[in-house]
Amino acid sequence: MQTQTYLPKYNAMRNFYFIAFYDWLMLRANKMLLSCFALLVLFVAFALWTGQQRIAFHRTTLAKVKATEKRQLAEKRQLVADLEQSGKPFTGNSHRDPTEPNGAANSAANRYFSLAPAPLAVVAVGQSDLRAYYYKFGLHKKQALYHGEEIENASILYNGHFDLAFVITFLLPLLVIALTFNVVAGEKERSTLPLILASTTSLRSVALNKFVFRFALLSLFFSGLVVMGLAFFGVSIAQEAAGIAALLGITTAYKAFWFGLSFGINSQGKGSGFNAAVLVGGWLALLVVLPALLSVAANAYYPMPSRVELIAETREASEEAKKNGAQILAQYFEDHPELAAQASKPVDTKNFAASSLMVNLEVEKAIRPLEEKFEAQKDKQARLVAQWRFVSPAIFVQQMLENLAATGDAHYLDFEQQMQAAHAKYRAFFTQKIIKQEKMRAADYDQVPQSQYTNSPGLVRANRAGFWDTLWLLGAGFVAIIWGLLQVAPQKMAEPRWIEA
Amino acid sequence: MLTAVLQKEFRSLLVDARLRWSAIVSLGLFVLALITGVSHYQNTNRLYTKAQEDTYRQWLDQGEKNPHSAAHYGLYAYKPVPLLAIFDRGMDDYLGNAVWLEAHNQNEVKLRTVQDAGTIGRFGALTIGFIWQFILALLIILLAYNSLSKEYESGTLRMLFSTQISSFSLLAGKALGILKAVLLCLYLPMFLLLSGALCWAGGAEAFARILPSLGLAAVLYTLFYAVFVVLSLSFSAWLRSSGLSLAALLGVWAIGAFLLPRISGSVAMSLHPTPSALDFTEKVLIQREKGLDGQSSYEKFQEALKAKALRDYGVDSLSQLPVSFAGIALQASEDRDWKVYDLQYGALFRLFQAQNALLEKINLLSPILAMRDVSRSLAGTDLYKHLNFTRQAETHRRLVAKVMNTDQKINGIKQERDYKAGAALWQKVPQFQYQNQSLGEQLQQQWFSLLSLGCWLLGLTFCLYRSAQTLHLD
Repeated sequence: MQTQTYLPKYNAMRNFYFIAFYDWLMLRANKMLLSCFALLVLFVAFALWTGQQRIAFHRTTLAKVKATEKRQLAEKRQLVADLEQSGKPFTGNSHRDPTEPNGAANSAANRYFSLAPAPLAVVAVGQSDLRAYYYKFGLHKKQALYHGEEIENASILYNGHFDLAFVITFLLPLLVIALTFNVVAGEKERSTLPLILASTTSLRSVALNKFVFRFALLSLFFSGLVVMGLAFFGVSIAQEAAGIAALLGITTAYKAFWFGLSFGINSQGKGSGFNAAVLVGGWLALLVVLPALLSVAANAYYPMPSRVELIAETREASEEAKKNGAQILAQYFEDHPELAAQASKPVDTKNFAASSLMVNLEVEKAIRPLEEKFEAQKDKQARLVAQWRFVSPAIFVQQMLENLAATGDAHYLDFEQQMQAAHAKYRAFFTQKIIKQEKMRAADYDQVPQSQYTNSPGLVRANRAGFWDTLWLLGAGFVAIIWGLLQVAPQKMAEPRWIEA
Repeated sequence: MLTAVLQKEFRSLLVDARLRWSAIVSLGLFVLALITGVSHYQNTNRLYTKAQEDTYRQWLDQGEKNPHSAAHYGLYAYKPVPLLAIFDRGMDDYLGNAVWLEAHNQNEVKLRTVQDAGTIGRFGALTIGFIWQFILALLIILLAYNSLSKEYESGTLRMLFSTQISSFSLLAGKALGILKAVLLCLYLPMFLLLSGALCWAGGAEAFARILPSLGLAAVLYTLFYAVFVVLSLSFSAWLRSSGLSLAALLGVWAIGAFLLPRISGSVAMSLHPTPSALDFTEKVLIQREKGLDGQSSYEKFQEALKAKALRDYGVDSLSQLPVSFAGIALQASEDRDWKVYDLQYGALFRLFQAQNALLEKINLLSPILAMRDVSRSLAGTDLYKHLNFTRQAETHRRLVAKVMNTDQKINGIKQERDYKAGAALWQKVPQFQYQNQSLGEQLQQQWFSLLSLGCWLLGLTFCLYRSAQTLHLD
């Protein structure tokens, strides 16, 4: 009985032990704890299952993409090698001629640039349902790349996903509220408050210890649950220890914030109905209304130019580019490949390739300013949101979880930037050959640039911002607790609001 | 007696701080949502009208070229923003707005606004629909959760019963009193403001056109609020404790508004999995290349076509044909592709509809979700309208191809692909105009959600009636 020897020395510890013990008995008896924890198990299991389904879908698709890329390249390389050996020309659709750099770039030697799900992707769906996670490279305009998004039913997209991030940001606070909204008011409503007020332990101490105990219980249970769940769904706990620790740290700080807030409200000495209403009102304000308001503000301050304008501008620029210098081949630029080959005049595909490439580059150059406007506004909006994210912890908790899962805005921006660089490299390889009017030889197929996505160092900095966010949560929770403690100060105990039921 | 209870309940709410605060909060948010809604409607519509005109002008001004090249150049179809989007933007941000109509390819509708919004955009938008469906429902709970339990707790129920009031009159009176306060103090001011804004933003003519939908929405929202009043009152009578009743009602609200939609999405996805874009495109390509039976090929198809043309016109070689073979070949390949698209997109849309049918079944569990679906359907910002737009755009695309290929066939003799047409032909293609669905069609699509709302109202009224029968003092 080691604890007994220590207990007398630490009065606070002994207090906590007794209060926690009786709180435990009570929670066990009224089934509140059991139902909360059972719900939590269901939520976490369902959330991880949902996340797992999506990752599996992405992985399968990427595996198919890789296989297609490899098979296609090997087949065409072999075909070119055979043609070289036999000395025969290629027969077939001239636009897909693997011995021509144009045909190789657009169909025979397509490269893909992909973003594999991160080990912790199961935590948050984030932007992975809206943004493309692989791109197919060709010679076409950069704009044509942005057509690789998945097919999604908008009704499901609109509803959002039941992922772990949703459980943490939205549901966990509700469970905290359910567990705590009547800690003090319940005593009053059960008429046990006078007993506590009459005892040697202050109400402040009873309430605080109960909160600390329930917080510790929920945190331990939830952390254990998440770790077990992740392990069950195939995440290596040892390898991802740092990420999981961060996940649990953020979650615990977020819970601490809600426990603190609830303690502050509880300490006002109002009824449990009032507490529940204020806390759920606060939940709605912090999780739904304030983020929506921030979004409204971001759009009002830095309105995004319309994508519709971009389309019109691109078409206008294409027309212009074709008129200036490439008129003769402009016809072919739009032409149907098969028919172009059947036309009465012979088609010089090399010239066609060069001119269509030139037109593409020209168009890209022409609409660059509008694109920059887009990027600039997007960047400004992101900055505004980053500055004001402190209005609602839900915003930055969600962002932090998405950063851990590598499915947030920052990761997709990084991915797209690297993709554009890789596409430029891919196109440059073929451009050279097209301009020099070279043939694609079998050996050239091994030289087609291939790039792999790697996390940029900038993303680590994004994670570091999480330190201040966590500090905010703990600080706000602490302030709420102090506020609560001041409200239940002993001298005010005689006030009728504490005793009247 | 019923009117006395009604009046008492109404008056006591009028002086209640809860109603005052509810009105301030909801009206404040409403005004903000209304301003954002109107400016979104005006900006987007101005841009789209201009874009629609631009794309048609670009089409007309494309100069002399071969009709098939013109079909490749194509035009864009833009989805107009309905006037009622001011009140319920629904899924608009999650649906694409523009589609390129070009030869050979049925493109997907692109440009989802939410793609540019980032993480913050996924928390949801502040729209009037959101305030009316989610926040007002919550406010009703906060106003009504203790309307009966407080009579228990303060012992006034004993006094009430001494007046020989029937317990059903008591409950019904209370329900009507609360509903009156909610409608007069919260809903009506907002509705009038909204109507004014709609009339101002859309003009009298457009306003007259949407009036039936707006009126129906008003009636349905009133019924929806009645559901929440009766729900709160039933809980209050059943649980007899204000605290318990509030906690339970808040639970029902949170589950219905936030939990169910996400759960239903996951379930729908796993029961009816959407194919990956990769698989879908591959299937379309293979069927277009090898035919629906998988036996054909480009060469075989061309050979058969030539043989048929020679046979039809009774000539020996293509050069003797009285029409342009290119025109025949192009239209034949379009005809073949249309079958593939009808098959594949048809299957995809049926899959979406199966997923949506499942989501709608879950609406039966939550009046909030049922109301949300009906509301966005009336506003014309739901998936059905989007699919309707997609179909109309595709019909227009096919019209462009047909007009171009027919001209090639008739006028492109001998010249074949060197034949050039001009503005006279381009003008034969009319500007794309989206035809709105009729109110009847919209209601037909939403019959299940409407049924859910009706079930909730009837079921809850029955519950209230039962509670009245079992209402007792001890």
